[in-house]
Formats: sequence, structure tokens, C-alpha cells
Amino acid sequence: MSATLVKIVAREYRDSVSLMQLSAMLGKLPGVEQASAVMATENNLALLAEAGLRVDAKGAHASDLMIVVQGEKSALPAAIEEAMKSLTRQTEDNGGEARAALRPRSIQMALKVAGEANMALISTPGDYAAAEAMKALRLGLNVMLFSNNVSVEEELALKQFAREQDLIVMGPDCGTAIINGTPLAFANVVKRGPVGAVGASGTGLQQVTVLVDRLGSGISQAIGTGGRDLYQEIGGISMLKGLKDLANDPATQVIVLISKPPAPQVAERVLAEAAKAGKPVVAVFLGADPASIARKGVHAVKTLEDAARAAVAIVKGEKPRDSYADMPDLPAGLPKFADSQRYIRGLYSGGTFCYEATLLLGELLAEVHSNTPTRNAHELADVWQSHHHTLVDLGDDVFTRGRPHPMIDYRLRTERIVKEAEDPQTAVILLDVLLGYGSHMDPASEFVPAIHRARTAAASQGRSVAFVGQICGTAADTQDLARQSRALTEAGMLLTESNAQAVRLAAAIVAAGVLPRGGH
Amino acid sequence: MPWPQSESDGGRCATSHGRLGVPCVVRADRIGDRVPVFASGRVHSVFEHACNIETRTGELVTLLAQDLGNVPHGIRLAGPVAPFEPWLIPGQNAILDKVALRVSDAGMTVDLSGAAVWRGGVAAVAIDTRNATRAVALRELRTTLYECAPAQGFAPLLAAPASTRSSVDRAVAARLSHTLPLLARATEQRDVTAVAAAAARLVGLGPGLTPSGDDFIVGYLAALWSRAGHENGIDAMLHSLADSLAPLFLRTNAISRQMLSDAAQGRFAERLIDVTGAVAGMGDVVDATANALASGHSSGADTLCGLLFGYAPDMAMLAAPSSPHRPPGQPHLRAARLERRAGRAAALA
Amino acid sequence: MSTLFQEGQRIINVGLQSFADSIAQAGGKSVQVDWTPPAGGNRAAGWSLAQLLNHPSVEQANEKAYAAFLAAQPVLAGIGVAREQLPGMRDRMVLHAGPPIAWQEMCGPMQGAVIGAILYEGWAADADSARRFAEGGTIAFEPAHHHGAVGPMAGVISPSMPVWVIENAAGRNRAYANMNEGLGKVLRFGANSPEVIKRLRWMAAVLAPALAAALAKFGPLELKPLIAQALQMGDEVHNRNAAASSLFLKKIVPAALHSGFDADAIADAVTFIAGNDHFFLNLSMAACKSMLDAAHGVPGSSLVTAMSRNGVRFGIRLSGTGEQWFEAPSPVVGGLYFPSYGPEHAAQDMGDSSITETAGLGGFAMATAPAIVQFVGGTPQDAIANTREMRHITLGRNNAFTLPAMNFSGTPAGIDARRVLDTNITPIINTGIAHKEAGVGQIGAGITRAPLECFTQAVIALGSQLGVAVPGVARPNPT
Repeated sequence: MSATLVKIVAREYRDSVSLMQLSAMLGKLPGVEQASAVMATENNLALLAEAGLRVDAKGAHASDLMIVVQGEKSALPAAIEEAMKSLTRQTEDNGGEARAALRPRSIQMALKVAGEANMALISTPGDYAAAEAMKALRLGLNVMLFSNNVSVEEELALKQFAREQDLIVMGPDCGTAIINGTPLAFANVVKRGPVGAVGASGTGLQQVTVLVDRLGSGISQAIGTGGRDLYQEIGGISMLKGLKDLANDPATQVIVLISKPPAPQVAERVLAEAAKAGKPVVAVFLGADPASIARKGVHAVKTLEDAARAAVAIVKGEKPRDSYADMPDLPAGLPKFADSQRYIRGLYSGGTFCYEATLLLGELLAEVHSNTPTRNAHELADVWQSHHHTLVDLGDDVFTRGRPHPMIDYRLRTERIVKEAEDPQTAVILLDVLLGYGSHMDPASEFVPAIHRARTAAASQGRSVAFVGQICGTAADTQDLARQSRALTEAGMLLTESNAQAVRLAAAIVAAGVLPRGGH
Repeated sequence: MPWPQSESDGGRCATSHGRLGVPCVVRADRIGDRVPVFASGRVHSVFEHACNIETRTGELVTLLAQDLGNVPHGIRLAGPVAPFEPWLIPGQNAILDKVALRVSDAGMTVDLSGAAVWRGGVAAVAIDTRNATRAVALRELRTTLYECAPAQGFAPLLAAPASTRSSVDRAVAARLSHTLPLLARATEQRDVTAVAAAAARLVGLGPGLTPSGDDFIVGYLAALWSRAGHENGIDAMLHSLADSLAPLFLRTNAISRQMLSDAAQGRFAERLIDVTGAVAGMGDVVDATANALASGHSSGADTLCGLLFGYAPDMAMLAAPSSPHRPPGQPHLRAARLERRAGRAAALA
Repeated sequence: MSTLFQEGQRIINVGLQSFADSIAQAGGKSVQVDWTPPAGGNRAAGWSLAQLLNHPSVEQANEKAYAAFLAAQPVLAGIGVAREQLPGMRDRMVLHAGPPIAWQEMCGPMQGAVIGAILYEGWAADADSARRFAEGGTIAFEPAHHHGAVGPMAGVISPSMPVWVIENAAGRNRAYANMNEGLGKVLRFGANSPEVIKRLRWMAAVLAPALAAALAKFGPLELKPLIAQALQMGDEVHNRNAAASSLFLKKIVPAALHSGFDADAIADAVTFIAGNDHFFLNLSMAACKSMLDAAHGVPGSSLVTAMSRNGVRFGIRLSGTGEQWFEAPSPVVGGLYFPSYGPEHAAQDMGDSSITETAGLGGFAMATAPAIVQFVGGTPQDAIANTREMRHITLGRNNAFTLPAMNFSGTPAGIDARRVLDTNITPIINTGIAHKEAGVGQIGAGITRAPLECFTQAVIALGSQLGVAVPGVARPNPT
């Protein structure tokens, strides 16, 4: 039911533009059908009556401003209040805007506001990131340095100073951490539990923490060290500190170390420290021979999945296995491949997943090409063109120049999916799907149409392509793991528990697919 | 021995030095011929580029920034001017004499000694429907008006049917369609009473600091004064009208009242006068119209509606041109000229 | 246990807002920093700054310097003649406001003032020959600051001019200032007509002796309590001095009347002072210089002890870096111009009067003088906000000067150059605006900021003094 409300503002002279703006503003408020801001002259009062607006404006003079709003009864008092605020603001605003409350402009200012703070998360452009990190350290804060483009010299200076202050620098280029149960930057929501992790790889940490959660255990702390921490120049300062902190942490029962193989001297130092930790340590140095790493107190494994499974086994009081790499059973209903279809095409958004995949596939198959090459795989000659078995890290600089990372922007990947499907030699397309904070809000919404387009393209030339992959995410992640799973499965994707399993499954399919099988 | 006085201490006021701690003197270059010679009063209202001072006798003297056109009760300042608003506050005392206007509470003195008197009388024009040039001029006026008029005020209501508008707009349109034909007939018949009765329906009507109806009446009177020299009976009607209209003017606010009162005496704003001059053949109609539209928000347009109506009291004349039809406010070449010409919207209304 | 694992702590987020949002969504606590590259994007300065933050030597030095500043007690000891009072003042020397500047570079008003001083001293007979004399190279032009003195606007002080003598009762250091001539056509705006010179002569011959007699009768006049009282009456003792000038007059008149000095001279002197609402400004400036000089010269200290402009360049000094000036172009002030004037007529910001802000008065005490913000269309709330903002770049509050509008808290005082760079908040200054042509005078007033560049250079200099090294730059993909 339409109602009218009027407000008289005595002796109020406003120029016509202001009055017009006021009317326009009021007319747009929710619940307001029409609004007028006019001088309270006799004729205007009469006019309102003629327009069917009953207003009580006793004692109003021609020099008064009359604000009339008509609309939903409940919305009108708020509208009048808005009008009065606008008029007062105009008085105060004579030429200047009211100043907003000052937000902290520096870490030091923020520290005053924050009260209890123990950490700074820094994601400024690389040129300035090291200085910000130094300030944080000087103010007694631990640092997570997400920014990259920080020089080795700067990193060393920061980590040496941090060491003197008994603080940690996680980074530079540290994309993942979970501290006190809070996921930071690109990280998943995982249960709290007794497994602690220190890793030089962001996606490596994501895989291990997600698997630990899915296996029924939980994470005490997940510490990132940045990709260069274990180089000779840096000497593993952050990994050593993380290791020490977890060793001293009562809530941590098992420690997992994740990295590519460190420089030899650094590896020695780290492993020596691990052996003294006083609690079981599981180490996965991707690409190193576990035998060369293993020692008393350190259980060495080959894959990220192995590390997670071993850690959970230890927590349960079981003896951890050296390897959990069971060859998968081939699922029923695999596509019938054409003779030309022989190869796996892996399209990765996580560099570490691509690297692990290259390592594993290189052992299982010949002629593996990758832009994250290993001992038994070739460097991919042209990243835009697949050749034989090809694994591509789409997060590489050459792809990300001028566009967002593939964890967020799927366009390059979805286009490449279709392109690979159109290639008569493609049998299996291998993918990683990342959930958690920082990742795409709804990966399935991008993949499913791409998969359909790819299938259609292949089908038009009489081929079927297999899609294999893993979702690196937990039930608590905001993307709704179950729904993502369902959508991708319905689109025909074969989902595994981990990256390593996906690689093994893809290899198995291709090996089996050399022989023609019955169609579905 | 007293210290040597500085020559530039002129204008120092008896009380405080005002906000800035120093007295300041500004010069006026024009003073309207309706500004009283002696007066005392207070600051009435302050806008960015204009300030009204109300005298004891109820007149309003307007202090104007340089970029505004002259008005009969106006004192226009020479040179660029800072916004009035932080300086002048309603209620401050003001004293006017032959030499200066002093607002002592603001530490401000306006030096009038160098100001030339400005007379705001309209150009005389014979509106003869057989005169092709006049007809063309009026058509150009109408076209420019409707193409460049803003979406408020009378112009859009006169131009197009009001069926989709708010109930208030429809009520205004209804009033206009009822009153204007009466006004047209009354003018034709030189019927002062009927003209006053129609005016009574328009005074204080509509949006704007100077309500649309007031602006319309001012434009209408400007057209009549313009025609007075060449057509029978208009002169006499205008003189009688002045008395009949005076009480009506109390039904609107002081700013509008001064404007109407000056209009009833045949004194108008500079930009409006320029339009009458252009219609009379002494200038470009499109430019003058565009200039007049630049003042105020819809004031200029409402005034020009009244002007057009006053020249040819005829609803058909007032209706939007039929070809090529453009809804009011559409950009056009003329609008481009309007924009080039328009400075800030005048704060007069 | 590692501090990292302490539960319930906040995370300070510097950079992508989305990270802070995610932390909140995940049930954590964060504070978002409104970050822009510090030091205006200068990487070397940024790294120096980072190293100097919480640096023990700097912290200790600042404590010492700030304590000396707070303890200072500027007292008006008397009046003298520049030639006799100012250390290092020589016969053919003319002092000016701001950091060092040569004659050819000086702006119009300063050159006009110099010419006036030359005429006043009798070194030339008319303006043209005075100008030639100035060009000739026989005059030594030096900053007033280098001789313990300060002066507003052009700040020109020549040997025969009378000067206030202020002594720091706590530290024994002395500061000096010239006397305020009043409004209109005056030397400090570059006017040098005969009436200006006449007035200057009158000030030396009548005003100064009369005041000296009054002061001799009164005894030493403590300036801090007077300033404190004036602040509570709506002054900020840079652009608003009416209350302070009145309070000064109240103290000086009885003493003058009882001094036995020539009654007519007393009458003229008192009338002169009573007619000038800014008379106290020069005393306020000298008092501030006195307080800051007491804090100057502590090695390693990042406390700013001077901010000053010569109409071309804006310069600052730090306590820890000695006599060095750190300079940048002096800004044109955005503010309220008198009718008929605009920024195109304005001289660049000029004068030693920003010594008041350096001491936590003037723009820093704006909360107590809200009328000032109307110069840029602000509100009393803006005035308070301005003062509050200055808290983030100062070492502490000066409780000798309390602000009623802020619950009687002390004015933010002791500018720390590091904090200026870290927050990109530059000191705010209330200032008058002079016409760029000599002799026209004041054409407006407004609010301006000290240029960031000065503080950038200062911090780099302090850093290298303390041996801070800048590590190599990462340039994997040069753009």
C-alpha cells in the first residue's frame, strides 16, 4: 500500500542542481516510488494534493524546502533520513569530501592497531617485498612472503636476520601455508591433527595436507619455505627452522618434509637435523632416490601420496610402507582407441604435480616430454605443441606472461584440452583440479564444457578420448568437493585420489589401449 | 611617532579581520540599476558563485561571480573569484553605500567605485506573424530549447505527453494544459485580471530554487515587455499588471520574488535579454538560447518556455517541433554548442 | 615454542586484499594494510628504511633527542641587534629563510626583500642600484637557520635589524627571530618602497628600544606556557596568532608603562602591536627553533629538527645528520585564494615558519584551530583528523601543549623521518600564500605538505651513516 511522507526544512535555500540530485537520489532508494524536493509554496502544496499525495505541511513557508517521498510505508522514514543526511553532508562538504577513517598505512601502524600479531603476510610487488619483510622481522613478526621476483641476496639477508631473531621467513614465492589451522594464500581447509609439514613447494604442500585430511588424520602446521630455500646459497635456513619448530611442537607427532632434491650439503644438514627431531620424519624429495635419503628416524618415500600415507600410517601406529604405488585396476567401459591414439597429454596448473608426473611417467613409459623435465624425460621443444607423451606445466612463465595463473584463469587449459582432443594421437588427457582458497570458484563449470567440446571434436573424427585426473581438495573447501566430483565424473572424467595414482592410471590405460578393446 | 600607514589598508573593517586574518577588498565591475544606493541588511543565502543579501526593506541584492551574467539587482565582481561558501554565512551583517558593499563579519569589502551601471531592459521587437525572419527566429528558439532542455521543469512536460511520468509530473502537466490556454486568451484580450488569475496558478509551482512557474512568468513578461513598443495595449496592460502581480509574488521565496518583481518592472537577467535581442535580429538565436539554457538547472529552459509563450501565446507554438522529432535532451549539434558555451550552472537557480 | 604457533594472533596482510578476505572467511583474524610503495617507490630508500626500523642505535638516539626537545624551556630574554647577537653574522651578510640559495635563483618576493634590506642598511640609494649591489657578489647570502635565527616568508634579516633573543633555560642554546612588521606592504612579502623602509627604521629606532625596556622591567618571559594558553584559545601559532599576540600584549603593556621609557614611544609601540594579530608569530617560531635546536646533533637520530622553504626549494634537517639539508622543489599551495587571485599568481611555499609544525604546532595542532581547514573546504572533523594523522609520523606527544578538541592530549610532536617514508604520510603545514611578484603581499592561505623526497634523501643519508647495505636487485625478466 502506497504511503506518503513529507519533511519540511525551514528556510533552506539550495541551488536547483542540488535539489535535482536530491530528488534523483531519493527516487532510487528501495521502496520509493517517487520523490520530490521542492520549495513549499502554496501552489506546490496544492499540486501535491492534485497529484494525490496527502501531505500535512501546516506552517510551511515559501522559503522552506519540502521533501516528499511516496512509496512503501516502511521504506519512507529511512528515505527521509537519507535526505537529511544528504543535506547535512552538503553543508559539511562545501568543496571537500568528509575524510574516511585512516587505515593503517604501514606494518608498524598496523601492529599498533592489531594488538596481538605474530605474522605478516606480504604479497606486494617483488621490488618492495623484501623491504616489507625486513620491517616485519625487525618488528618481531614472522613472515610469509608470497611475492616472487625477490633476489637471492635479499632472500639470504632476510633469512639470516630472521635466524638471529628466532623468526621464520616463509618464502619468497611461498604460495601455501596453514598456520594454527588457518589456510594462507593458496591453501585448503584441512582438519587439525598431528601431522606437521614443511615444504618448498606450494602444490606439494597442498597435495600432502589434502591427502592427510582425506585419510582421516589432520594437520598441525604446514610451513612453506619458498622454492629456493634448499639451494646452496640459502642453505635451507627456513626448512631447518620449520623442522626445529615442529620438533618442539607438542601438537605435532609426525613431520613431513617436501621438496625437490636439495643441494647435497643442504640435504645433509636437513636430514641430520631431521634425525635429531625426536619424532618420526617422512621425507619426500621428488626425484631423489629414497634409498639415498633414508636414515634412522627418517622414512624416505618417492611420491607426495606416499608421504601422506606413510605419515598417517605412523600416526595410527602402523609401520609405514616404502611405497603405496599399487597399479590400479582399469575401470570398465574404457573408450575404444583408434590405432593412432597412443599418447598421454598432461595439462597441469600445479608445477609440482607436473614434475611428479614427469618423474613417474618417465619410469613407466618411453618418450616422455615435459617442460619440467627430469632424468628420464625430454625437455619439451615447443610448449605450445605436444609431442609423444607430453606433460605441460601451464603455470610456467611463458604461459602466464600478461595473464592470470592457470589456477585461476582456465582459458588456456580449456583451449588446449580441445586442441589435444583434436590431435589423432591423443589417447588420454591428464589433468589436476585444485580447490581451496585462492583457486577457481567452480572448476567443474570450466572443465565440463571443455570436456564436452573435446569429446565432440574427437567423436566427429571417430575417436574417443579418456580423461583422467585428481581433485586436490577436501570436503571442507568452499568449492564443494562432492559437487565438483559428481560433475566431472558425469562428464566422463576418471578421478583418482592423488596425482601419482592419476599418472599410473593414465599409463595403464595407454598400455592397455595399444590393443583394441571392446567398445562401450 | 605613529608607524607609517600602508596605502593598501583600504577596506579594513571595524571589527575582526575575518577568517583569513587579513581584510580583503574585491572590486566590482558592474552594478545593476535596480540595486539601491544605500541599504543595510544581512547575508540571506550563499551559493558557490553567488550570494544574496537581504536589505531591511526586503530587497535582495545579489553578489555575482564574474562568470555569471548581470542581473538587475546584482553586483558583479571583476576578476576570478574563490567560491563564496567558506567566506560568507547567512546572517552576517552587510552595509551598502555608494562606495562599497561591506560584509564586516567576513572581513570582505566590495569596492563599487569602479563599477559601471548595468541596465537590464529588453530589446524591443515586433512579433508579426507575417514577418518571416521573426518566425524563423522563434522556430530556432523553440528547436534549440527542446533539444537542449534538461529533463526537469516544464519543458519536457510541454514537449511530450506525460502519460508515463510520476503523478506529480502529471499533475503539473494537467495544470499547464488548463492554465496556459487561459493565459493565452487573457493576453490576447489584454485582460489584466485574467492574466493575474492565470499567473496565480503558476507562481511558486514546480521544482527548482526559483520554481519553474516563476521562471515561466519571468520569460512571459520579458516577451511582453519586448513587444510593448510595437503592439497596441501591451504597455498599458503591463503597467496595470505590476500592481496586480505584486501580492502574488509573496507566495514564493525571496530569491524568486526579487526576480519576479524586477520582471514586473521590465528588468531582466542579461542572458534573457540577449535572447530577446537575438529574436529581434541583433544576434544569433541559437547561441543566445544555448547561453541562456546554461544558467541554472532548468531555470533557463523554464524561462525560455515562458518567453516563447509570451511571443506567441499559442499552445501549438509551445509544443515540441514536429520534425524532426527528438525527445528533449537528445544530443545534437546545437547541444554541442551549448556545452562549449556553458560554464558552471549558475547558482542563482 | 615458536611465536608462529601462538594461537589467536592476528595476521598483518600487506598486499592482496583477497588474502585478508580468505583469512576472515576461514575464521582467522587479520589487519589489512593500506599499502603503497614506501619512499615514493624508491627501492634503495625502502631498503634503508627497513634496516633502520627498530634499529637500536636509532631508537636510542631518538630517545635522547626527543627528551631534550621536551625538556626545552624557551624564554624571551630580550631584544638585540642582528649584527651583535647572531653567531657568525658579518657586516655584508644578509640572511634569508629556507635552505641555501644564491641571489640569481631567489624568487621575486625574496629578491624584493633583499633589495629592501640593502636600502635599509644604506648600502645603496635606490632600488636599481640595490639590485646591482645584490648581483655584485659582495653580499654573503646565508640561511637564517645557519645563524640561529628564523624569519617568516622571505625571512630576510640584515645586520642592523632588531632581533628577539630567546634562550633555552634547560639547554642554554639561543635562538633568534626578526620582528613582525604587520600586514599589507611589508618587507617579508618583497615590498621595498620608502614606507616599508621607514617602518623598518621606526621598528629599530622606536619599537625595539621600547620593547627592550618593557622586557627589562618584566624579566624573562616564558614562551611555552603562553603558547599552551593560546592553543586553548583557538590559535595554532603559525597561521592563527591572535590569542597569543593578545596574551603577549597583556604581559608587556604593564611592564612597558612602568618601565619609565618615553611615553609616546610606548604608546606607538603598543598601538603597533595591538594592530597586528600575527605579532606573536616570530616569537612562536623562535621558541620552536629553540626547542628543536636542543634536540639537534644526536648521531643516529631520525628526528626532524628543521623544515624550511626559500620559495624555490623545501629543505629539512635531521638531528642525526648534522648540517646537511635534504631538499626538494617547494610546492605551490592549494588553498583559499582571495578574490581575483588564483594558483597562477602564487609564489611557491616560502618561509622558516614551518619550524612551528616541526615542533608539533601549526598544522599539527590544527585540531585546536578548526577555522583553518575551511581554507580547503574542510570541516572541524577534518581538522581533528589532520592532527590525528600526524600522530602516525611522530615520536610522541608534547604534553606541554594540550588540545581541548582531542581530550586535552598533547600535540603530536617529533617527526620521525622513518615513519614518514614508511607510511607515505607527509607532515601537514598551514601556510599563507604570497604573490609571486615582489611587494604584492599575501593572496591567500592554505594547507600544504612537506615533499616526500626530502625524507627519502634524509633516510638514505642516515642509513649510510649507520652502515646499512642494500643487497642486490632481482631482475630475472627485465621489463
